[in-house]
Amino acid sequence: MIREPLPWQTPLWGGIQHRRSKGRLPHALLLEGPPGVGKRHFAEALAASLLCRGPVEEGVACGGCRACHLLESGAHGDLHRVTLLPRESKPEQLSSQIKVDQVRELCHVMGLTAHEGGYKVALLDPAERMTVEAANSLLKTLEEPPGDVLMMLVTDQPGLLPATIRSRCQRIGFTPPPEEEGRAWLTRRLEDAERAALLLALADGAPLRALEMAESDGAANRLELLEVVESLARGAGDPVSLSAHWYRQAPLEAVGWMESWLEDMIRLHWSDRPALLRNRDVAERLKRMALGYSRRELFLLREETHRAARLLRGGSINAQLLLEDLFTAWGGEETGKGLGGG
Amino acid sequence: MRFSIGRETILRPLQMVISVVERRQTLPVLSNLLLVIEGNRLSITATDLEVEVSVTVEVESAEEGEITVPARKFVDICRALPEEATLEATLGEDHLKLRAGRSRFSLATLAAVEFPVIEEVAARRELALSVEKLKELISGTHFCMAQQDVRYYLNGLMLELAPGHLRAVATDGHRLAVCDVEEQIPVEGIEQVIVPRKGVQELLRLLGESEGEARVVLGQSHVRVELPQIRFTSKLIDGKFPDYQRVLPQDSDKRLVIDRRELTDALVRTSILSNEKYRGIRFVLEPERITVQAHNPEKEEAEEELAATFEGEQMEIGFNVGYVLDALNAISTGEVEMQLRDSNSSCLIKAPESEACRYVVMPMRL
Ligand SMILES: [Zn+2]
Repeated sequence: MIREPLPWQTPLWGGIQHRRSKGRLPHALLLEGPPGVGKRHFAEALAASLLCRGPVEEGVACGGCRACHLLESGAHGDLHRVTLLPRESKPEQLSSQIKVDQVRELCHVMGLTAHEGGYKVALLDPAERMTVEAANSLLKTLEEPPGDVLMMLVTDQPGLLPATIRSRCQRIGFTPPPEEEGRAWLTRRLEDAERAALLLALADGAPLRALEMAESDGAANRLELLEVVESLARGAGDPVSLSAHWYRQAPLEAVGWMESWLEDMIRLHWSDRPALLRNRDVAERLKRMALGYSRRELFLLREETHRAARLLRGGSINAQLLLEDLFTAWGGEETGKGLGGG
Repeated sequence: MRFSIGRETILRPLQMVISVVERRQTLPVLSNLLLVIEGNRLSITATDLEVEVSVTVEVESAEEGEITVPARKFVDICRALPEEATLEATLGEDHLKLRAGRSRFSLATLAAVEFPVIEEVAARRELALSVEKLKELISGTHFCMAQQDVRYYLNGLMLELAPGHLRAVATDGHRLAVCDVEEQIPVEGIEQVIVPRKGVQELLRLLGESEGEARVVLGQSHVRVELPQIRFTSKLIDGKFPDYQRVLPQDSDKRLVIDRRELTDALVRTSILSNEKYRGIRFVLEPERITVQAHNPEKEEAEEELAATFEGEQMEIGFNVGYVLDALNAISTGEVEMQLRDSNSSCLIKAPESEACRYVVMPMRL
């Protein structure tokens, strides 16, 4: 169970707890900011803080009371989570949207008295994935939630939320911590300062995203994908079968890597020792690959990759076809597609 | 933990609690039943976090303990056993072992501490009345509750405690039901709670299986009803019920008294040709007789004349026939009384010479 906020969130946490002690906690919060900076962590800690029966210093949940035990086992009746559910047709995959029925059910339970007689807390995450209908059915409850209620909407992409939703929430913006602070935190976890620095750079300074990369196959996947792209750049490899494979891995992550390499490749094309470089560990390989393209080709490729990332994050899109196009584009002149000659 | 019980004896309590267990549960423990042995009594509890139902039965060779087991599987096993079978349950390491005749089952369990029981409801108010009266109160009003209305406080039944009565009120914004039971209730002012729709329906079902006395306990955030062997608990709706008194027509100057059965039958027949969506029926009211009429977009028409006593000037008014029929069905007297004013004013329907149950139906323009 998450109880304490992350170190760099202390000021935000203090502010919220202060408002709470004055009885001025808003009914609805919009927690926004890039992925991996700790929005969800903060939301979980705040939920625990509100539901705990005897919070300790700074409002942090005690971890020992009945409410904390129920939270721990996931059985607290007053914490309502709304998130992407497994698809009905393909349970191993998550749906790309939060459906109206899920939000209706949430509004129903928020209209009831609290199970444990205290706060009722809702966590909507990722909030931007609500369908239009779902968002509409949330409006009324967001506006005048009954009783002691805190609704937290968590999103990486607040721009995708309807203005009617945003205007009914108080916004809390999350940003990556100062590089040093993030690195110190990540180093404590990984016990490897060099690796921490690299992963943090790869994750745009978002410490939790860096940690996720370290813990998942992300880092290994990255090198495997780099090899794939290198072979494509040499004119080898089959975009169709490769996309079928990578689409099943993590397409969004794969496209994210490509975006990050292309940024670095463009820098490396201009300068031998660019000041800003994210993929320091593979700089040589990126440089070699970059020189195989013209600058114009690199810009077009980056454009294409941005577009793919945007479409993928938007949800309902055929990820496999998208990757196929992208891999073909990396193939450049040899395939004659995607880059428009050059 | 250990107990032994006849298949017939455990089946009834299981059937009472099982409807609370929803098929799609986000929390695994909610698809389980909580079994608790205290002394020689087994209590079986189901919850969906909104409604909790607990039923108690006596068992043989009991050893105290508590555990949760998968609800559907446990019920299915008990149901599938031969009628005269005796079920012996023993809690093992992490399985509940069941034996009956030559059958053996071993059910997966989850710890009882993980089961989110509603803690003791701190009684703010308490009253006792007969199961029969409570059942009449709810069955006389529940059909007027709203369903999935954004005005969430309408999606339930309001119970009002006042010094002289216990009252139930339900409305969906188009019609309203008010029923009273006269009771000496130990309150000073008026207190209201709203029981959510699901709990109301569950309670009505349980009342149908009970007799004797019902104890109603109002807590800060729950209502609990204790029936012989059954304990029902529901969350409340966290809101304020609208001022229903303002909806009760005060200045009706016309009064219709008619045979309830005849009117019901005539409305059922006539409504066959009413607009399928709006279900409008026109009442033409004259002294000594009324006419009910319906027509639909296909230009089909139905009409029926009935003998009745109507006091007041001739008038016409339209209603959703479903609302009128619901009210007529909830009344049990031979005759029924309708109080009216004009074609734009709500109508009050009740048994003549009784104020115990009153129904208000808003008119519709035809
Ligand atoms: Zn606690």
